Amino acid sequence: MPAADRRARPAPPEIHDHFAAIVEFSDDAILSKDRKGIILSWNPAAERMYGYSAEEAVGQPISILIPDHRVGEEHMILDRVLRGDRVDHYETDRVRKDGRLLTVSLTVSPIRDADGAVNAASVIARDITRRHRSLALAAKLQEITSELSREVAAQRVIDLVLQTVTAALRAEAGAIGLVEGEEIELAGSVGYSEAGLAAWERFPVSAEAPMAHSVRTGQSVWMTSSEALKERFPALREASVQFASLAVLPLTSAGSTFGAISISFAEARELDPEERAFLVAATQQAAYSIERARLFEAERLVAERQTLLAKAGELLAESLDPEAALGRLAKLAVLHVADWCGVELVDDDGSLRNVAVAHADESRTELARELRERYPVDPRAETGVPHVIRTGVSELYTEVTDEMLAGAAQDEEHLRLLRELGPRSAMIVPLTARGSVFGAITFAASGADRRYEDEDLAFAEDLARRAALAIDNAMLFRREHEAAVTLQRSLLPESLPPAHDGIEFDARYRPAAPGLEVGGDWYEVVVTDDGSVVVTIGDVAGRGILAASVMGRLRPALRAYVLDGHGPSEAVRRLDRLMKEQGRAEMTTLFHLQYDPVSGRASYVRAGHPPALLRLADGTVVELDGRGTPPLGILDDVEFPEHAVEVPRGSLLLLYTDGLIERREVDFAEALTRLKATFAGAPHGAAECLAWLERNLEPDIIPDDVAMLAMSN
Amino acid sequence: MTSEQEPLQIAVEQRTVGAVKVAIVTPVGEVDLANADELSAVLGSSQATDTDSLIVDLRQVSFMDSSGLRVLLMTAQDREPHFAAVVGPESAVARLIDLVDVADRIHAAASEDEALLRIEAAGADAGG
Repeated sequence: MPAADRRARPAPPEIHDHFAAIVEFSDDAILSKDRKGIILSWNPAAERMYGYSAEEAVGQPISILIPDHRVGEEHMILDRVLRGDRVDHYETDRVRKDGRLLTVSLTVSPIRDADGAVNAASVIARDITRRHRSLALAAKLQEITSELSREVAAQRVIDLVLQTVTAALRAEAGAIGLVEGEEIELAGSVGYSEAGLAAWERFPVSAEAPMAHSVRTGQSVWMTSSEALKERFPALREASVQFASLAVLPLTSAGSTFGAISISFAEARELDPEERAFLVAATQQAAYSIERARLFEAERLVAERQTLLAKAGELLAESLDPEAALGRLAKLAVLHVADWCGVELVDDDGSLRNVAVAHADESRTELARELRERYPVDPRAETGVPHVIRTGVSELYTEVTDEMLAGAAQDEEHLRLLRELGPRSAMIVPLTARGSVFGAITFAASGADRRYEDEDLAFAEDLARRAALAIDNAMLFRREHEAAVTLQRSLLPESLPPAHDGIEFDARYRPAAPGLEVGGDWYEVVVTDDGSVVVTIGDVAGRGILAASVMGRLRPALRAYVLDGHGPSEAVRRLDRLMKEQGRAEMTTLFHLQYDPVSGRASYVRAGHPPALLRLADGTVVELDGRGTPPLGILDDVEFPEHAVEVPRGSLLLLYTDGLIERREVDFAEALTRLKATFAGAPHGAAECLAWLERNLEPDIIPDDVAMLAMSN
Repeated sequence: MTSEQEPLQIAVEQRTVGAVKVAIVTPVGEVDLANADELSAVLGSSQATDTDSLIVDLRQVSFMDSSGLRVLLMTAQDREPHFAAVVGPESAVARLIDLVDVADRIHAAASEDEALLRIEAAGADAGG
C-alpha cells in the first residue's frame, strides 16, 4: 500500500523545510483543523485573507470563518474528508474577521496519523472573490446592455442605467446630468435626498463640481473620501456632502461629451479594477443608449410635428371661416405642442381681438377665456402679443418666472388668474401675410415637462406661416363674399309694394354662408297702373359678383317691360333678347306671373325654373308646372308660352329659387314633396308663411343662398 | 366647399357610324359651377368638334347644376341638329332636364343607339 510505504520512509528533514517554506509564502491560505474542526495551523496568507493572525485563529473552531448560511455545508465537507475522501476546488463563501464576505475555492484533504487513521484535515483556500465578482459584473453588464437595447425612451434608459449600476456596485446613490446649452440639467437620479438634489437640478457647465469637471474635460473623477472631494473641489467645502466616495464618468458619444453619470458610496471605498471596468463599460453603454433614445425621440418629434403641420394645413384649408379655423388650430395645438394656446387678430381699427383660446385641460379653457376677456391685451404693451404684432418678430420665453407674471399683471385679480394658469414657458409668433402682421398666436406650457427652445419656436413659426396663408385667403374670400352679398342685396328691391286691396307680399333672401359663393338669386314685384300684380323670381347661373351683376341688369329691364304693359310672354321674350344681345352667354331661370285681382286670373311663364306653388283657400296645393321653356339668355328660337291659372281670394302663392330644391344630397321630387307638405300647413299671410317655412323646413331642404317670394290675397 | 367632391373625369371617343363621324363625350362625376368650364373646354376641343355629330353621354353624371346645364344647352345649340345627349332614366340629370324643360333642346335619348338615330333623324329633317 502506498500509504504504508510513505509511513515506512519518513521524508528527509530538508524536504520538510521546503514544504514549510511553500506554505509560508503561498498566496493561498493553508490551514489545518482537527476532527472537531479546531484550527491547528494557519499560514500568513490565511492571515491576509481572513484578517485573523495565527495567534487569534489557532485553537478557534473553523466556524469563525463560516457565514451562517454555509454552516450545514461545512459538516458535509468534514464528513467526507474524515471518511478519507478529498474535496477539490469547492466554491463557497467565507467571512473575514471584519465581517466582509469572501468567495473562496477550497481544496480539503484528509491528514492521517501513523496508523493511517484520519485525525485532521488540510485546507487550501484561494480567494476568488474578485474573479467571481468580475464574472458577476460581466453578466450584469450583458444584462444591462440587452435591457437598454430594448428601451427607446431616453428617460427610461436613464432610470434603468442608474438603478442597475448602483445595484451592481452596491452604491447608495446615482445621478445622470445632461448638457443643455451652457448648463447641466439633472436628467435622473436614485438614492439622493430631495434636499441633496435641490442644489443640483441645474448648474452651469463652468461650475467647480465633479460632474461639470467631467463634462468639461471628458475625464472621469474618482474620489474615495469626502475630504478628498472637498480638497479637489474647494467650492464644495460648504456643501453638505452626504456620501464618502464618488465616481463620476463622462457620457460621451462620437467624441463629444454630452453629460455625466455620478455614483456615490456611503463608505469610503476604492473601486477595484473589475468594478471600475464595469462602470466604464456600463457608462459607455448608457451614453450610447441615451444618445440613441434622444435621436429616436427627436426623430419621432420631427415626424409628429410634420403630421401636426399636415393636419393643421388640412384643417385650415377646410374652412373659409378664419375664426373657426383658428379655433380648431388652437385646439390642435393644445393636443400636441402647448398646454394653452390663444390667437389675437388685429381689427380694422387697430385694436386686438382674441378669436381663439384653448387649454389642454378642457376645464381650464374657461379660465383662459376669462383671462383674455377680462384682461384684453393692451395694444400699447412693450412686450408680448402687441409687440410681436408691431414688429413681426417672435418672442420666446423659455422660462416664465413669477416676477414676469407680476410685471404683466394689470391688477391683483389678473395676477391671480395668471398664476392659476401658471405658464412656465411661452412663445408668441406673428401671423403675417403679404408683408403685414395681422395677428399673433401665443403658445404656453404650464407643465414641468415642456419648455420651449429655439427649435420649438422654429416649429411654431412654421405653423403660424401656414396658418397665416390660409387665414389670409379666407379673409380675402370673406371680403369678396361680403362685397358680393352687399351687391346682391343692393340689387334686390329695397322694399316691396305695400299691402293693398288685401294683397300682401313678402320676400326672403338668405345669402350663402361664408364658404359658399353668393348666387344670382333675384326677385321683383311690380304693381302696374291698371292694378295688376306681377311677381317674378329668377336664378342666374353662376355665382359671385358676376352673377350678382347680371341679375342686377335683368331686374330693372324686366320692370320696365312690365310697366310698359307687356304681358308675361312678351316681357320674358324681351328679357331673353336683351340677354342674348349683351352676348355674355349668361343664363337665368325665371318664374314670372301676372295676376289680375279684379278677374282673379293669372298667367305665368316658366323658363327653366321649378314650379311655383299655389295654396287655395281649401288647403289644396297646386303646382304651377305648366309646360316650361329653357332658361333665358343662351338659346335661339325660344317661345315663352303663357299658362293661365285661377287665383281666387284666400290663396297663398309661393315662388322660390331652385336652391330650395336643387340639392345634390336630396332628390328633387322628394324635396318638392316635402316643400309642398310644409307649405300646405303654413299660416295665411305672405310674411307669416315665409316665417313658418323658415322655421319648419329641414335644413337640408332650406339651405343658405335661397330666395323666396310669397303673395297672399 | 367642394373639398370632398370627386374630380370630374371626361372621356372623349371618336367613332364612325356608316358615313358619319361621331364624337362621344362621357363626363363621370358631378358637373357644377366648380368644373363646368372643364366640360365646356372638352366639348369645344377639336376632338369633339371635328366630327359630324356630337353625343354627350350623361349617364355617369351623378349631379349637375345650372352651370353644367348652361354648357350643355350652348353646345347643343352650336351643334344643332347634330347633337344628342344620353340621359339615364330616373337620374338626377333626367330630373333637371325635365324641370327646366330642355329635353328636346338637347335631344335627350335613353341610349347611344337612340341618340344616333335621333341625330340621323334631325339631320334628315334639317336636310329636308
